[in-house]
Amino acid sequence: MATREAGKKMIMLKSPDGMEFEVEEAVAMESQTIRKMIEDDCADTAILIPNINSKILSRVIEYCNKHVPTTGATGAAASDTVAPAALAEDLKIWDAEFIKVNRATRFDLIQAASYLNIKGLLDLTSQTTIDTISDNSLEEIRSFLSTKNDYLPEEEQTIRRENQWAFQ
Amino acid sequence: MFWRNTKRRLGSHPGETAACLLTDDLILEILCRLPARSVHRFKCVSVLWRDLIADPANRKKLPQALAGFLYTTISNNRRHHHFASVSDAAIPFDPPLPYLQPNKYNGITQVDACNGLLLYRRYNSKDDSHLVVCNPTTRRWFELPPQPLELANRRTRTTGLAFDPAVSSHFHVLHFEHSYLEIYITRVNIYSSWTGAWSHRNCGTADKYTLFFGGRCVFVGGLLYVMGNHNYIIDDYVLLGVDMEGKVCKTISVPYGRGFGMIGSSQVCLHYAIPSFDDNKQISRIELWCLQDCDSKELVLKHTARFNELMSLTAKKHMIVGIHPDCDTIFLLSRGHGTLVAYDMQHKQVGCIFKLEKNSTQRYLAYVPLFTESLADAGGQ
Repeated sequence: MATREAGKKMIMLKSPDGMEFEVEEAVAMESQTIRKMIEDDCADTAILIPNINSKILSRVIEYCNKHVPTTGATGAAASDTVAPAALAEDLKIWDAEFIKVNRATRFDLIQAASYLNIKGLLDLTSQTTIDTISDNSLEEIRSFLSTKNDYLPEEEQTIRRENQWAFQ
Repeated sequence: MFWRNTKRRLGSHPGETAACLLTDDLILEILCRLPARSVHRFKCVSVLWRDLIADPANRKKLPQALAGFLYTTISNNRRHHHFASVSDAAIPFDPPLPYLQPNKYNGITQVDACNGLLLYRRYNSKDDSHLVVCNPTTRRWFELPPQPLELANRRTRTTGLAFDPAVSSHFHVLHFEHSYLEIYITRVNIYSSWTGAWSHRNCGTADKYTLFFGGRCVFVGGLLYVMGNHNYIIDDYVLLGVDMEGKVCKTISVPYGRGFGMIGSSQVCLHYAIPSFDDNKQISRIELWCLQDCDSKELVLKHTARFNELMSLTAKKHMIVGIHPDCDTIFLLSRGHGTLVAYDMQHKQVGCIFKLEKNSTQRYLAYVPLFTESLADAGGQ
């Protein structure tokens, strides 16, 4: 539902579990997927965000709220006095706090960021996962990602030999 | 309609938590942010991951491993092009690159390789040559416009290619030259695919740098590094870090080890491998140094392999010809055997040995395939 409130265009986002979130259009448009829907005029009524539950959707909105550019049309709260470097530093600290979530939530956030096409959030969530897994043993990674080793023993030997350099 | 239709293969078993619901797309999102070494290690996680990483549809996104080395041999006064594969994958292209050699050219030489692009020089005579940048994996190539005559009428010392697909699809070619009278670098000519034109920068005379003829160029962290000699002082070897405007931004002293070292880009850092020789001219020690970050101006010693560790190698004459882009392995050319030997500096172990064609030259260019289509300026060639 595109309504007007204090001069700002509002958008209604609906999660599949029935929750509704009214957000500023500029915040919702941090998602390229939603931006496209709005630009294509598919967003007259509330936008249903499939497969992203209200818990995750509210976190995603929290992220977009923080990251929406504070200048331009929505610049009511623009902090012209704060230097860009300080602002970036502030965002970094905020991001680090934001991503302190359990594994299940983080994976849900990756999925949501990917579907909603929010590059910053996808970078943040994927990078945090990488920092967790990049130096771990294969066994740890399998257990972290709940995936099974389905190699036959001789197959595994071959693939390990072929990629020996990567284990150094 | 809005939801991407991807199969959920990981954790499709009922009763598993949301944490397992990573689709192939999301696994790729994570993998494409990892260095090549991790990606190739992760092939061993499961069959699904191996297939995902090896799938041609995903190659554009994922960092690729070292495929091998381009080199040339000379026989009957002709230059022949070869590729020494160091991976199990098939040779990614036909080394002589026939489409680059139309009949109007007498020959073609390998000049440089950088992150998946190759730089060649096609020539008829000394005064009639053209530089060509090529991605052999996609077969896209681009001939650089000739240098303006006032720039071309000088002597080339060395030419390097600067390209980093992670930063931009554009490339630069830097051409170091000296005048007829002097042997130090007097001018750097720069081609930018961004502007599509050559520009140049005259070098100051306060510091005189002599580059080795046809010396190796390595592009890392936005600077092209070349090795040279400072103010004609014997044994004072330096690495020059040159930016894309031809300005020397950094000079780094290199350790001297009774021989010339080899520079290379590995693990996103500049590396320098240098041998020491005993009285019989056999390698008695190899040191691997590295520049730990872009701002640093000092090489740090990373590994040393001593005589007893090199025992199995030193029976024949060897020289260092390359550094692995993703791990602390160096490649030695064994002249006597006509082989290329991988040596793991970290674990002091001889790795695979690769057979080479006879009469090879000493120039080996590390090649990592690049599957992205765009070659700035290629214009569909």
